[in-house]
Amino acid sequence: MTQKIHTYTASGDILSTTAGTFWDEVSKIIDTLSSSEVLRLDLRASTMVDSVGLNAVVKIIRAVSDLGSKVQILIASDYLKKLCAFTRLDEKAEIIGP
Amino acid sequence: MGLAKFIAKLPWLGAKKTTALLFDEAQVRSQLREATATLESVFGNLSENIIEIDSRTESLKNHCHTLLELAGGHNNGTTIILEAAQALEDPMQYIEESLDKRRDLKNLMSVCEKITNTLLHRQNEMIEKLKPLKFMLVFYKIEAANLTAEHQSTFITVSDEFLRLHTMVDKTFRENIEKLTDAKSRISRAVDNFVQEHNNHTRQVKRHRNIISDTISSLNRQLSENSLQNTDLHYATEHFQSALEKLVIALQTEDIFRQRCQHIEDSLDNKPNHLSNLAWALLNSRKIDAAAREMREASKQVDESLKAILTQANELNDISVSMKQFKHMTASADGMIQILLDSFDGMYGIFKHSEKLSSDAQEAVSPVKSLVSGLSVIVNRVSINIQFIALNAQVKSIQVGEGSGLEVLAARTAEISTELKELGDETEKDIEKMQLTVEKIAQLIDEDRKSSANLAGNLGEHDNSNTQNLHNLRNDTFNTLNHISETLNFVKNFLEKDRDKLDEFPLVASSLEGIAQSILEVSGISKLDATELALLEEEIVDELIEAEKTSHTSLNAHKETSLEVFDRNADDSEIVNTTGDVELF
Repeated sequence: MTQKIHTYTASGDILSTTAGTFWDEVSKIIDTLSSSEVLRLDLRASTMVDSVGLNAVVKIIRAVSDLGSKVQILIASDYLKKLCAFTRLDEKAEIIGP
Repeated sequence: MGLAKFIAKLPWLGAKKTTALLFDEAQVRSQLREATATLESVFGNLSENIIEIDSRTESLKNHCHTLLELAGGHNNGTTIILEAAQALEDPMQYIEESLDKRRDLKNLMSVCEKITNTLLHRQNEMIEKLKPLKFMLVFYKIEAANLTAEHQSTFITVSDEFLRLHTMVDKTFRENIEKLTDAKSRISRAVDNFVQEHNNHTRQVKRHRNIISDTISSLNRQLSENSLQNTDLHYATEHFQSALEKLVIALQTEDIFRQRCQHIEDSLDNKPNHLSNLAWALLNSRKIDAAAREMREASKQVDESLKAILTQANELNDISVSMKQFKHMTASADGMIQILLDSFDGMYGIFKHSEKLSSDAQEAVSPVKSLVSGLSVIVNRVSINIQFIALNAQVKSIQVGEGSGLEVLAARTAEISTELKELGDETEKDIEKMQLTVEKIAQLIDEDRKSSANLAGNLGEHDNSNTQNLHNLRNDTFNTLNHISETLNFVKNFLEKDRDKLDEFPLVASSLEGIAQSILEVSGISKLDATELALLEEEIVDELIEAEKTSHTSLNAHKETSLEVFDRNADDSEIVNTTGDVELF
C-alpha cells in the first residue's frame, strides 16, 4: 500500500532567522499527520542549515516519530549531504539526494 | 680477445672508427633541452601548486585539530557544556522545589474542596432548618385571623417577613448550592490536573536530570578516552601531510634529471680518446636511455604521490564527516549539544505549562473567593432577619397576651433562629477558613506564576546566553567541517589537473628513447650480434660507472636537501620521517 506523503517545501536556508517560521509551518502539517503517513521535508532550495535550523529539524523528526510516522528529507546540496552524515541526521531520517 | 683486435677484424666497423661521430650531436642536445624544458614547465606548475597546497595543509591541520576539539567538547566546548548544564541545574532545582510548593497548593486546594463540601452541606442544613417556616407561616395566618384588626395587621406583617425571608432563602440558597457544586467540581478538576501534572513534571525533571548527568559523564569519558592524538582524524591528517611531503621529494627529481641531461650534454664535447666512435655512440645512447628511464620513473613517482595525496584527501574527508570514534559528538543530532538544547526546551516547556496550570488553578479558585464572601453576607442577613422576626413575634405575642397560639409560634421561631444562628456561626467559621485558604492559594499561585514566567523568560531561546553559546559551538563545528571540505576540494581539483599534465612525460621519455635508438641504428650498433655488443659494452663499462657515480653524487646531494626540507616539515608536524629511503633512481 502506498504511504500518503505530506510535503513541506522550504524556500531557502534553514537558519536561526528562519527556523522559527520553518518549525511553525511544519508543525501545522505534523498536526494533521497520522501514524502510517510520511512527512517529506523538501530542502532542495536550501544550501545551509545552521545549529538552530538543525535543532528545528531534530524537533520535527522527534515529533513525527512520536506519532509513529517517518520523515524523508530531500536535499540537493553536497554540503547538506555532508552535514546530514556528520550530524548523524541520516540515522534518524531518510535522506534523499543529491 | 681485446676490443681493438675485434674491431680490426670488422672491416665496416673498423672503417667507422676513423670517421666522424656516428650521431647528430646537435639533435641530441636539442632533444635533451626540450625534455628538460618540459619537465621544468610541468614541475614548475606542480611546485607552485605545492606551495599553495602546503600553506593550505597547515590550515587544514589546524582545522582538523579544531574539529576534533569542537566535536569532542574539548577546551572551550567543555566550559560551554558545563556552564549550560549548570544553568539547567537552577531551573530544575526550582521545579523540584516548586513541586513541593505545588504539593502544598494541592493540599490547600483539597482543603478548599472539603470546605466547599461542608458549606454545601451547611446550606442544605439551613434549608432544612428553614423548612418549618413554610408551615408556621400558615399557622401565623390562622392564629392572626382570631385577633383584632390592629393585632392582625401586626402579625400579617410578621408573616410577610416570614414569606420574604423564605423566598430569599429559597432563591439565594439554591443559587449558592449550584455555585458551590460548580466550584467544587472546578476545584476537583484543578486538583486532579495538579496531581497528574505534578507527576508528569516530576518524571520529566527526573528524566532531564538523568540525561544531563549522563551527558556530563559522557563528556568526561570522551575527554579522557579520546585523546586528540589517538583519533582517526589525527592520523588521517598526518597521512595526508606525509603524502604531500613524498610529493615534495618526488618533485626534486627535476633537478636530478636536469643535471643528468646537462652531464650528457657536457660530455658530448669531451669524447675520451681511448674510446672508439662506436663505443662513444653506445655510451651516449645508454646515457640517454637512462635519462628516459629516470623521466618515466620520476613521472611514475609523482603520479603515485599525487594518487596517494588524493586517496589521503578522500580518506581525510570521509573521516572528518564520519567521526566514528566520537559516540557523543557534540554536533550530532543526538549529541551533547542537542541533549542540552532539548533539556532547555523541556524546562522551558515545563515552566510554560506551570504558568498555564497556575492560571487554571487561579481560574478555578477565583469564583469560590467571590462566592464565599457573597455567601457570608447572605447567611448573615438570613440569621439577622430570622432573629429579628423571632424577636418581633415574641414582642407581638406578649402584647396580644397569654393564651394565644402566637406565643408558641414565636417560641418555635426563636428556636429556629437560634439553630440557624449556630449554623450561621459555623458557616462563618468555615467561610473564614475558606477565605484564608483561598487567599493562601492565590498567593502561592501568584508567586509560582511570577517565578515560572521569570525562569521561562530566562530559558527562552532568544534570551538564553547558554543556548546561544551551544548554538555558536555547533555552528563553529559546522564551519570548521566546511573549511576542511573546501580545502580538500581545492587540493583535489588542483592535483587532478596536475595529474593530467603528467601525460607529457611519457612523450618526452619516448622521444629520448627514440634518440637513443636512433644512435644505435645510425651507428650500426643495432646490427651487431650479441658477442660483438658485449665486447662494445665492455669498452664503455668504466664510463658508465663514472656517469652513474656522478648522478648518484647529485642524487645524494638532493636526498640530503629533501631530507632537510622534510625535517623542517616534520618538526612542525611532529611526524617521524619515513621517506628517507625513497629510491628516486
